[in-house]
Amino acid sequence: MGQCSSGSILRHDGRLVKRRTTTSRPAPGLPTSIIVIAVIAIALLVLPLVGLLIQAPWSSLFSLLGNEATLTAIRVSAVVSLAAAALSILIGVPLAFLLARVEFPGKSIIRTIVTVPLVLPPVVTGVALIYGFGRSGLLGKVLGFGLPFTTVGAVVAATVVAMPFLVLSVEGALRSVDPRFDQMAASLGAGPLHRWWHVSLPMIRPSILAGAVLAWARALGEFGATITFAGNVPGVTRTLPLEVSTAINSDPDRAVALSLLMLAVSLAVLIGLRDSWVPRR
Amino acid sequence: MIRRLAALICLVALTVAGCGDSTVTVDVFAASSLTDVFTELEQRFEADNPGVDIRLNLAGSDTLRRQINDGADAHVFAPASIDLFDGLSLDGRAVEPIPYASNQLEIITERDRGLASRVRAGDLAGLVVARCSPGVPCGDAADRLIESLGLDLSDATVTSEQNVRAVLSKVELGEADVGFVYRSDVNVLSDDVMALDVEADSTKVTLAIGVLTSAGDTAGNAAAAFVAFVISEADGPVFFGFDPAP
Repeated sequence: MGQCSSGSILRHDGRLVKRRTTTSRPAPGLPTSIIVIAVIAIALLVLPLVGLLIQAPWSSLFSLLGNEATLTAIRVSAVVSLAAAALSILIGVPLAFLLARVEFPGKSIIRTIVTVPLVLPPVVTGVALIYGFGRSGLLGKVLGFGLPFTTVGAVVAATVVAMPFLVLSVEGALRSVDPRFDQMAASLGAGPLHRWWHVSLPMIRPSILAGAVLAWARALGEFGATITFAGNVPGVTRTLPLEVSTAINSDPDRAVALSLLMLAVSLAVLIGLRDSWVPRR
Repeated sequence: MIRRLAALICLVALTVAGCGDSTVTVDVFAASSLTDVFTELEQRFEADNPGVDIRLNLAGSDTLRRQINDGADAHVFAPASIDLFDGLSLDGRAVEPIPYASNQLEIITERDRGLASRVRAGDLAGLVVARCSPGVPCGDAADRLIESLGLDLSDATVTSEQNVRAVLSKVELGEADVGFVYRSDVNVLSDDVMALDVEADSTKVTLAIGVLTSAGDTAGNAAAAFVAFVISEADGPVFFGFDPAP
């Protein structure tokens, strides 16, 4: 997962730990040109956010956010992102166990397919979802109905895009768990499901939580797959990002206010991740 | 290592700059509803004018206007409605939009689902209706269409799409039952989708095109030549489905 914020690292078991820093000065011998390039990289990330903050209609922020369309979008976003995170845990954790613990033919293909939504443009994921779960798609033809333009459809779109974060986080953690705990529990007579629930699962709880938070944050920000597959129906599939995109041309102030809201939530998630998972010493 | 890096940067820069040839690039910001028309016009214009590269930016008209107002360097603006020239801020530069065609909304639905008579009767309960977002010309026209035909959408699922082509694809893919698109879009429909031939004069939009750069420089001249070419083709076959400007 790499670095999450300066000074802390997201470990493969899902824990965020403080990085041991020996000095605050640049490491000896690092060329100035490299530091200059690094500063350019920081500017690339920081400047748009500063622009957003300067552009923000601070005085009317609360009235813009109290608008009925905004509140509806917040409600839809909360429902969709939380449901997607829950669904990711429910089906993603067993998938992670399958990938980490069971050898079967075609496993590498399955693992690739799991990671595809991470790199595929979400719009393409949305188009694929239409052909899978649309009214005239593979499953839709069998069932006689489709998921587009329903909240369930928005949840499915968000889950497909977000679940890989959880699966990769949990699978990574499982690889570092000593299998002898499971073997010991088996030798003491515990059944497979009992062992899974009482031994394997508790050991990776932190990484499930960290993966779920990442998946939830990704689901909250999901746009392309949602608008392509689930459409833009107010109160049903119009989440906050879709509301921003709908408002940006007609009501830019409200779009900026909504963007600030999403930025605040993202920061809260990152800060929360750090504070909740840093072991207190 | 440094030398290789420098070589890579130069290569990227050259690619972006078009490898230093003498082609004039004209950036044309055109409405989604004009996708097919302008793609064909681009090819024909470039064939006749080898030194000019027409670069199309196709999106919802209000998105294009926002991009221009935010500083995008557009040479030509061709929205789906002349109204979009209002609210265009160009730092004092004057633009003269030239009307060249008109369009109006049409209702489309899947051919074999027997929805035509229901929609004509204004009964849309339980159906999925795809329309453009308010603010896009086809969205504002959709509001007028709903009002003038007295369509009741209270029990329908209404999805607001970003541009008219997204509406079209939602119906084409069989996910939306009914779509409000331009009459000119009916040209690109597949056989599975039919138009209801509604006559809703209230949904008429006038298309206009304008040069945004000052004349004199090569790009400005090429932009003016392209605009003249578009206007000269307005009554030709490429604009099939459009009506003459009022």
